[in-house]
Amino acid sequence: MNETTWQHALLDAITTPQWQPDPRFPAGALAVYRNNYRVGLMEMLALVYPICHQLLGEEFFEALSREYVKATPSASGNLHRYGGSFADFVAAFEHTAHIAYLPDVARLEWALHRGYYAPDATPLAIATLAAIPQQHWGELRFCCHPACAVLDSRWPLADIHAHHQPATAGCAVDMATAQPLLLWRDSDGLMQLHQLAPGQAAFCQALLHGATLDDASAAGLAAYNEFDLQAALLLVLQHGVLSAIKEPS
Amino acid sequence: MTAPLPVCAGIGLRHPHYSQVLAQQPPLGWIELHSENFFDGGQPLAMLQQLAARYPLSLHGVGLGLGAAARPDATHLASLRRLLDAVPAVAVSEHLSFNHDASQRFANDLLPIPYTRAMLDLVAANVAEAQDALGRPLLIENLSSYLAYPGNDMHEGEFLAELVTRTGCGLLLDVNNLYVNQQNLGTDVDAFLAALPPHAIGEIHLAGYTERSFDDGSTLLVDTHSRPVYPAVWQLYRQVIARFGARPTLIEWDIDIPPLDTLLAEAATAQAILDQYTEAAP
Repeated sequence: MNETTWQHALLDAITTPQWQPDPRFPAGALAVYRNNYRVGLMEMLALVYPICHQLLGEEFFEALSREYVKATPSASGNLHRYGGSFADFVAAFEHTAHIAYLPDVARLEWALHRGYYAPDATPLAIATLAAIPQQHWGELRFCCHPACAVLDSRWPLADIHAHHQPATAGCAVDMATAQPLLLWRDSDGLMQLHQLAPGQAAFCQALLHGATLDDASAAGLAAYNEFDLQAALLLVLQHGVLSAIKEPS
Repeated sequence: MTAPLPVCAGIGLRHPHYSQVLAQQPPLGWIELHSENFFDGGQPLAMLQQLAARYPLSLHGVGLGLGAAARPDATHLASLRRLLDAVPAVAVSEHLSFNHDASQRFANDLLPIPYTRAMLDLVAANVAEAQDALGRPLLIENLSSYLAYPGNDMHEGEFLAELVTRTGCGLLLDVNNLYVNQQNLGTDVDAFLAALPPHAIGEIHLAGYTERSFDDGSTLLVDTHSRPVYPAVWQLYRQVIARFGARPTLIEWDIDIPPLDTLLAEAATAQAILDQYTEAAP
């Protein structure tokens, strides 16, 4: 076995879900590496998904994350990037099917995690926009702050989130209310949740995807026929969603 | 060229102590943090910049896997470069280990590598590529291993010495890793130390291990960084300092992290040993 195939074999032996004795490697050493691998990834999931953890309880969350780790190899040397497909896994996992909102809670937690570590960007100054004649605004596209995300969920994600924070623990949650959210990062670097009015989720999502202001406005109107562009534009400026005007290509 | 680390004791700074250290600013010779925890931006990066303004900073990577038969991950290298551009680190280190293959499959761990001529060619190319991308030399750390490639044609000390010659990298000598390997794998400590080029050793690590027993009756010392430094490791540290002279020395503690005072006391013990040899030097 040459050096490359030996490294392959060792990675196989460590990451293969089912334990099999491997005559090429001492059992004790392999047990240490296999345990490091599994526990490291499971601990990362517990760190990224504290609300899912609370909702499911220690034992259930551990069993779920064990199954996720079996199904999902690590694809980065940076542990902070592990677990992005957890929501999809949860959505397809039969033993959590009775908690219909769990996948969206996982999506929220992943967006909060990635947003917290996302690169820095300067918010677009209102004066920069004001310097452009208003009849040209519709054609503008924007670079958006990398920490921002939109979650257009049919569940009361803001309430569920608040319910699991120490300061607001146990607050009421009306499961019949949809709470579409804008996630943004404040000047202290903390992620914040803002509940969006009808049409605003589609508008913000379009801007994040690089649409022109006209197209984003049309998306807002398509979602809600009384969509208020001025209010929505003020919202994204106030929360630092826009960071720069893209040069026309 | 940045100034090297100060020749004194420092501590590995971890999450439970970030705010305490920023608020109280205890007298620490230097601090070391894990690079990957500060990739990209936001509050983590801002805090690291605050710490770097107060203490000499060493950034210690656990994710590049430069000992892989595959090339280093370009995304990871680019993230590390952005971090180094944003924070004034006086030392940057990585391990002589692997964590991935060419298909971008990762184990987020420090896995042992073959010590052969063929492997040396690959690792030297990886270290050179990383140093080029980062625009500075790295300190490469010896590994704690629980198994060894059966076809080794040199030992880890010789491998590291060759790596220094070929790439101009420096070395981070982890004394606990060396002790653990001696106990687990029968590593010849004297031969290992004798092979190292003294000028290249830019930093030393100390930590505590955990003994684990297995069903087949075998035991291993596992490099858990979860305990005080053991007496036998302090003894080996004294030998290392007597041999190479005083070097910047770090206390690492990553699991079951104790109060800051416990880490400071461990660092003070290392400092007392360093002081003996600093005073004795001509």
